[in-house]
Amino acid sequence: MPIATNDMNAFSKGQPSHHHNLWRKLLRMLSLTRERELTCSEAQELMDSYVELELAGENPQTILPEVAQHLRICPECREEHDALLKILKMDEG
Amino acid sequence: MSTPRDNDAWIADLRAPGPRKDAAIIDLLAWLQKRLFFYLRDRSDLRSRHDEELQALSADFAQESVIIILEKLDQFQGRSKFTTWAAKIAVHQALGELRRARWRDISLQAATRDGAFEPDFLRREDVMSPEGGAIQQEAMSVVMDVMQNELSQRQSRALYARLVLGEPSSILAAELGVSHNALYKLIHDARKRLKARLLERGLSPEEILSSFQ
Repeated sequence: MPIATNDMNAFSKGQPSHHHNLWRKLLRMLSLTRERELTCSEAQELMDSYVELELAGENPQTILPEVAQHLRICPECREEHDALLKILKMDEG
Repeated sequence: MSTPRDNDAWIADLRAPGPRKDAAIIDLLAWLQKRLFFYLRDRSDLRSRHDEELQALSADFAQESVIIILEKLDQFQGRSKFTTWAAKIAVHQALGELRRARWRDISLQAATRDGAFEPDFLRREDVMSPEGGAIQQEAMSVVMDVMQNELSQRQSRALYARLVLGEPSSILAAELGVSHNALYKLIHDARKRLKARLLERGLSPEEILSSFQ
């Protein structure tokens, strides 16, 4: 299979193409894929407990590993986790 | 917050009839609105908005959230602080709205979105790096085979919409006529199938990924 000259150039310049990034994104998702995963609703159910563990200086990744796994693979839940953590930290400031 | 409350007090006040409930709702609205405003003002995609606009937006989000919180009050199990639970619902509501609004803007800009599904979206010879060509070529062959012969059209479309377009899952679920959980399962099954087929050929996603670095 021939390799396009433009992308050879992009690689040599360290500029990954759009498709190159897509593949990396897909492979990262597959790497994180587990046989059993929480759905978004299940992860959401535990999100408040997860964030409170973080705020208390505990390690939620050890205590609630399935939530941590879901947050790694689901960008929407990760965004909501980060937002929740940020606004609750207001009370600490 | 004007009246400090523990979890039991929040629940009791929000269930109480009359002015006691009204006062609790006002306090909850103010607590949520203040935090949502703080969050919205800090978002890079909303930096161009004036504070007045963000105040109005956070007030809307807080009001919508309080309605949902009151509906879900029986579901609060006390595993966290009540305000953490309420904030979780408000964040979910607000960010869902923001994602849908952003998607509407993108959709308007890209009039061809509906016809944008490309079954071959991952088939590009030019993604291969000179160093990792062999393993990438084999991985691409496996992935394309699974996508064309093993995944359903809905699975391929869902994977494409999330991976390539970044379509919000709530909108995609509605378009496909499935629940949010069913959509997650649809994509999860697709990911599991792709991973299993790669592993059967002795290709770990981590190994292929490292060839892309």
